[in-house]
Amino acid sequence: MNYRKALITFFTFLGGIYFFLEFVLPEKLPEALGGYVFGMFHSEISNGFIAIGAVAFALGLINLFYVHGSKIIFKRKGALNSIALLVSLLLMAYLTLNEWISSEQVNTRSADLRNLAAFSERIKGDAEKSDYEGLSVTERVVFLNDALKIELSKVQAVLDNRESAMPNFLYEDLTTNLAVVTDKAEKINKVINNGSVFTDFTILTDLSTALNILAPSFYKINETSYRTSTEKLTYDFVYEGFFVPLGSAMFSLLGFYIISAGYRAFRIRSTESALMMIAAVIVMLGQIPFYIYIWNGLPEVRLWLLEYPSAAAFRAVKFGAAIAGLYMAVRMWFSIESSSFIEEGKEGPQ
Amino acid sequence: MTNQTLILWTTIMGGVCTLSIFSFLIKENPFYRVFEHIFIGIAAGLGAIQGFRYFLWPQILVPLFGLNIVQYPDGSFSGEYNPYVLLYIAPLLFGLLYYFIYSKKHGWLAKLVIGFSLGASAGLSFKGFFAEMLPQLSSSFKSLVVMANGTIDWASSLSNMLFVFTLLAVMYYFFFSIKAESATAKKFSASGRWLMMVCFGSFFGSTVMARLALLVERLQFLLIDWASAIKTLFSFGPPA
Amino acid sequence: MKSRSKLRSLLNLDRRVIFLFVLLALAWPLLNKYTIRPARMKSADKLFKIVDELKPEKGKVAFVAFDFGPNTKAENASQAQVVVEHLMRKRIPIILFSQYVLADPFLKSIPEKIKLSLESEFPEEKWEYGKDWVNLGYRPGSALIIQSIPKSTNLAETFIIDAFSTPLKELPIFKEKLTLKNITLLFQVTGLVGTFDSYVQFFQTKDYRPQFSHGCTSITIPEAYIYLDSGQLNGLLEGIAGAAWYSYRLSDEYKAREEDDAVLINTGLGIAHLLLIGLIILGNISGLISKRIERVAT
Repeated sequence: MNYRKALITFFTFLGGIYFFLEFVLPEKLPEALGGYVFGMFHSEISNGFIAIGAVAFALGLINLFYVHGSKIIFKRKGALNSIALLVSLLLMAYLTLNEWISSEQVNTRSADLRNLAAFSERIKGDAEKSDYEGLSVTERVVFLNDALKIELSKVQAVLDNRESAMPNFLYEDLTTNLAVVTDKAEKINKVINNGSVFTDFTILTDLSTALNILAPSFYKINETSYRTSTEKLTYDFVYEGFFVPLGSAMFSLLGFYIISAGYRAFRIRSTESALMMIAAVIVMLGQIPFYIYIWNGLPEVRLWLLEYPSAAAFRAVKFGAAIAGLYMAVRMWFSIESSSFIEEGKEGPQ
Repeated sequence: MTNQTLILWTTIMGGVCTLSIFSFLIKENPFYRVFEHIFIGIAAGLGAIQGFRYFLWPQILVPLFGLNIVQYPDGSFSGEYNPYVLLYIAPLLFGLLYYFIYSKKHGWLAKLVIGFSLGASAGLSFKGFFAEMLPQLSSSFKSLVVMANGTIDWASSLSNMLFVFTLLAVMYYFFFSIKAESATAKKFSASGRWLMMVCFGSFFGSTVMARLALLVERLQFLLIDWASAIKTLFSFGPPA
Repeated sequence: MKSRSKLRSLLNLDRRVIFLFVLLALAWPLLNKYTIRPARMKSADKLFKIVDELKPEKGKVAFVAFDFGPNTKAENASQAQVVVEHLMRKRIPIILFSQYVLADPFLKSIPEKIKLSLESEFPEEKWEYGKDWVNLGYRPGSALIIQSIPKSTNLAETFIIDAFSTPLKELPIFKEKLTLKNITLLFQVTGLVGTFDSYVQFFQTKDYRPQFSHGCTSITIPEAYIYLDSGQLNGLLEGIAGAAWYSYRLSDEYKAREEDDAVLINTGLGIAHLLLIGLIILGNISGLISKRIERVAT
């Protein structure tokens, strides 16, 4: 099926062409070519590239469910471990999702106040436009006033149901900021109740500023309350109580094995191994606090070793690796290296 | 449940998990296996949601569905829907081709998107190579005679000479396409090998610190934090 | 015969005996909280000087990347903590970020912990989220997201929201239009392979590159030195030893500062190193003696 090979080759090339051109072309093309700024949509294009990979987030999950699910269903060896894995996966996914939703809700509560602030500014901005066609300022302010009453009552409800565990200064901040907003709201209410046309735009600006100050203090209270919520505490318990210690412990096992291997296997049998050993001992002794009991110059020798012979040798290795990497990248980009990848073979899960 | 109680139980469970992993040091056992699988499960569950939460949702799906546009109380909107956001549908659909890897008949479609991703990383590597390597190359040209206060600074000069010699010797050692024929060339290549051993020795010395630091931190947790939590639980000592 | 068999059993010592020996040797300094002044790290001194010379200026921020997880938290979390603490003491606004999903909780917990510690040290002062630091959270994309930052004309529009879904434009740090040129210092802490390279390669424009400092796990210390030599790195924290020395410098500068665990872990580490060197020497001597005995016997 030659068309498949051609398609894969084409898409492989297409994947790299933007970043290659972005590197070789000037930032702004000459006027004769349109004066186009090549990186104008760089952020959006980068997001597109990331999105391609991000959508595949379920690949690993499907594989895990396939492998461990089949162990459970067919009662193979290790089925209990597979149950533990899938249960913890589902539990953590649920807890993380729950934690996300809860934190979004916290944000939404203060976002409503910010939106009212933006609406207040919008009313003023639209009134200053000559081409605005819509509801009159007074009608819009009536809507603003009604929405304000609802949002401020929500804030008041939080103040009325104080949690004893919460710091007092948060409530004090909220009370002060709420009072400022309420004062502005009352002024607006007065104008509306009088039935007069709304003309005082400074109140709208002041209201917007006050709402933008109230929103973060309302957020802080909700956020502090959320931190002691069941969702957050359960998430923290699983993460701090299981995940962090398990991850740290897994990697710390290597410490034991390094010491054991150092005793049982590290033998100086040649000039090269002796050189390696001397360098290793100097580096180790130079980086620990007990060097002062051996020789004060050890950190300096260690530094010299790392800055000169070690850095030079590693740089040489890095040059070779980088050139080889670039070479392989070019071969990959032009699909020269990809014959086994492109050719027909066994497909699907193994 | 109070905060203190939660911290106590978190610490206790942390110790149980640590000891379960450390039980492998005695021998392979089911206790270790279960907790190992729990670790993988938690990591997978966490990773799956966070990728969606921090990128796909706010950067792609929210603007795509217009959820970033707020409707004000009077029915007007905070902004207009940007139709160019619909272009994101293309990479989303293209990325979904990854899932064809599970199909025997249509598995080749997954190769389109894998090839595309490989091509993108290849395209990025050009810029990355020059940005990373050119400063490395230019800083390799060190002064072989360093002057200080009108006289030769022998320490720096000799160090620089050693640096350049090491760089060239190790690079020469790796040029497999050029065979070392003469005795001088062979000695040059051998010195490259020896100097590389110095580099590997420093890597070993550094690796030791990395691994031991993880071990010491875990032991510190077990011997101080966990022991204190156990004492509190069984009321053998002052509260944690 | 007897000495040969004793030597053989010494050479083939069960690894579990060695593990127990390690445990006992490390338990003593940890239980007694024995600490000793850490070894001086010149690369950490360089970073300390860079941060110390930063001045809070309008529109200037530090960009700090936590690209590590629980597996390397022993070294990386200590490094992240000391540098973020120093930046917060200097009142340099910080933008926190990560390419690694498992770093998310550290992005939240570390600045909060430092804030509480600083506010207890300076009761009349406050450190606020949004003003002193912003947490952008985890951003997938690796090199793709890093290379989009220098091209951005407004970081608030590139990242849109913070880790708590708050629009960035509403946070005081982002009130000014921020681009790469507003970033005076980039500090990246990582134990992963490949993430450091993406900053070296892409976190710059043709005419501007922020000062770049790096906190690495000890494994990549020799690798980091080639970048220090070329000037691509301006400062380096070498594993836990670097963090311990930095912490020591901070305690020396700010006398009322609360001690952290870096120095304690570093001391325990020193004992572990001496143990390993001792065991290597013992193993080699035993091996040599065993060979001699075999040669004599044959």
